[in-house]
Amino acid sequence: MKNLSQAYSQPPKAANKFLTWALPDNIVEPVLGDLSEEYYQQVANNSLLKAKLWYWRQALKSGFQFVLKTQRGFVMFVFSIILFLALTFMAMLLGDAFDFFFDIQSLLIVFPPAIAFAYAATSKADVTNAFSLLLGSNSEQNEQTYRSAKRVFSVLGNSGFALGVFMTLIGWVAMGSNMEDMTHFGTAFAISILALIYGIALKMVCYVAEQKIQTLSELQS
Amino acid sequence: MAEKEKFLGEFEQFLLLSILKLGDNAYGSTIRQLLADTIQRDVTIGALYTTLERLEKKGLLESKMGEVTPERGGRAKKYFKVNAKGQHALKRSKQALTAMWDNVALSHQGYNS
Repeated sequence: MKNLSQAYSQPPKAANKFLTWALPDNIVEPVLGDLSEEYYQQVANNSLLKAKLWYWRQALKSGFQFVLKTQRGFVMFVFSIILFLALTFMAMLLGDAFDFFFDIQSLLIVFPPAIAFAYAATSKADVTNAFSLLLGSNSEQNEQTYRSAKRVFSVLGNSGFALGVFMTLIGWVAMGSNMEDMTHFGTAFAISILALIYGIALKMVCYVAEQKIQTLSELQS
Repeated sequence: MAEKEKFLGEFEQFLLLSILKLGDNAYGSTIRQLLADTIQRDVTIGALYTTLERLEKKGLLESKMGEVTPERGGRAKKYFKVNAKGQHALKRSKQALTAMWDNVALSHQGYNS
């Protein structure tokens, strides 16, 4: 019980992880130390909740202060993805058929199999490492690690695209077999294309991720 | 010091003065607490280190890693010390401010506090 309460009164681990990721290497140790010291004073003088809230406020404000300097590449990557999604949503809204672009079945037949293929073609460690590299939390790697990470995004993107084409073709075959009933042809055609759209979107994001890993690898060498 | 060299900013002066006041015990936490107690300024640790790093790059202060203590979760302190160049920059900023304040009388009109 005592161990549990001791663990609970520790500074939030997630906040520490965020700071370790966001701060420049040379000040991680003193900053975490300073915050821990003041955190325990806060725990002694105020409530535990107040101390945790104080710690999170310090961690978030301090981390975001440095993140553009230390994780610029990652921030730009996220920004480009957000921009891509925003423009996509805008195009959907302009098409006046926003709901029509979301089809759970099409999502399920592209994304989970593509992820499964990426795991199958590489390894769990490679996939984890690829995303860690992309998030900037796994710097200073060797050439082999960068190659493996690139392969993960390559397999993920290409599988997603191929699955999109494959599922669309299956949809067309199904439509072709029911040509006598043309009342739902338009809807069926549109849905069959959605899998291809999701596949292309996944391929595009993976292409950017692959190029980002390539840039990191070149900067390293 | 070159004539064209800029004067220290307000926060830079506060930090250098805090370090001088704290002497051998000037590190992130103590500087933050001194600023909160003396001028009621609650700065984040990130803002503090951003300015401290800038001052160090300007060559106005020096730092060294200190001892590891349990109350810091086994992490070392980073001690700061104002060097001769930093003290000179502080003196210069103070002289400039004093010279600017010379013969200035504030009217009480519109001053309500």
